[in-house]
Amino acid sequence: MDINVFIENFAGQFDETPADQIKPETNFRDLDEWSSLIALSIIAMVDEEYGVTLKGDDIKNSTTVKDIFDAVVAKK
Amino acid sequence: MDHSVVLVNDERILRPVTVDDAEFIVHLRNLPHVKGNINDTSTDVEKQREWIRKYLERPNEWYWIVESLDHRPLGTTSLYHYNAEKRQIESGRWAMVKDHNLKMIHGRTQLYDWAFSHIDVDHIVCDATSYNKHVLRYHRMLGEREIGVEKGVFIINGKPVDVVWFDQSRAEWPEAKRRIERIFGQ
Repeated sequence: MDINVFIENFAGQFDETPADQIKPETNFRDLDEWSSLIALSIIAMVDEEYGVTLKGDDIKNSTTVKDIFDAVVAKK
Repeated sequence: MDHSVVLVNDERILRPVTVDDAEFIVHLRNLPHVKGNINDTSTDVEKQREWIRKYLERPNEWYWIVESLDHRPLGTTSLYHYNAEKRQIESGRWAMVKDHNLKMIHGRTQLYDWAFSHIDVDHIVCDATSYNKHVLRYHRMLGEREIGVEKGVFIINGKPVDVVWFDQSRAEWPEAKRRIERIFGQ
C-alpha cells in the first residue's frame, strides 16, 4: 500500500486545503478545514479504496496522516 | 397529534422537544459552526417558545432533542413537511453542539428506520445549502440521491441561499442502511 497514493486520496476529501499542505507528518487536526464531517469522508474513502473499515477510535487515536495510514495498513 | 415519540439506543436518546427547550435551541442554532448553514434563527428565546407552541399544534411533524444517555442536550433533528400526495416527509433541523457527526449518522439511521416503519411515506427528503461542500459530500456518501437544486430557499445572514435536495427512498433504504452500518457501525 503506497503512502503517497493514500495521501492523495486523503487530500481528495478536502475542498479548500491545497494538497501540498498534506504530508505524512501533518497533524490533520491542525488543518483549518478539518472537521468530523471530513473524518467521516476519510472513513468512507478508506472503505471504498482499501476495503478496510476504520472506526471512529482509529481516527481519534491518530495524530498524523501517517498514523491513519498505519491504522489502515494494520487492518489490511 | 402525538409528539411523544422517544427513540433510545445505547448511545443516545431522541426525546420530544418541549417549550422548555427554547433556550437550548436558540443557543444551538446560533453557534458559529451551525449558523450560516441553516435558516437564520432569532436570538429571542420567547419567539422560539412561541414557535415551539405552534409546532406542538401541527400534525405529522416531529421535533426531537438529541441527548446523551445522561440527558445532556447534544442537538436537534426533525421530520416535517409531510406530503401525502408525494408520499414523502422532510428530514432536517439537524444541528449538534460540537463535532458529533458519527453519532449523527447513527441517529439518522435510527430515525429513518422509525420513519419508514411508522409513517406512510416512500421518500425521506432533505436539503443542504449549495455552498456547504462538506455536507453535500456527506449526503452523497450516505447514498442519498441528489434530486435537484432550489434557488433562494434559505435566508442566511439576510441573503437568499440555494439548496440542494437529496432523497432517501424506502426501496433503497435497506441496502443504504447495510452499507452505512458496515462502514460506520451501529
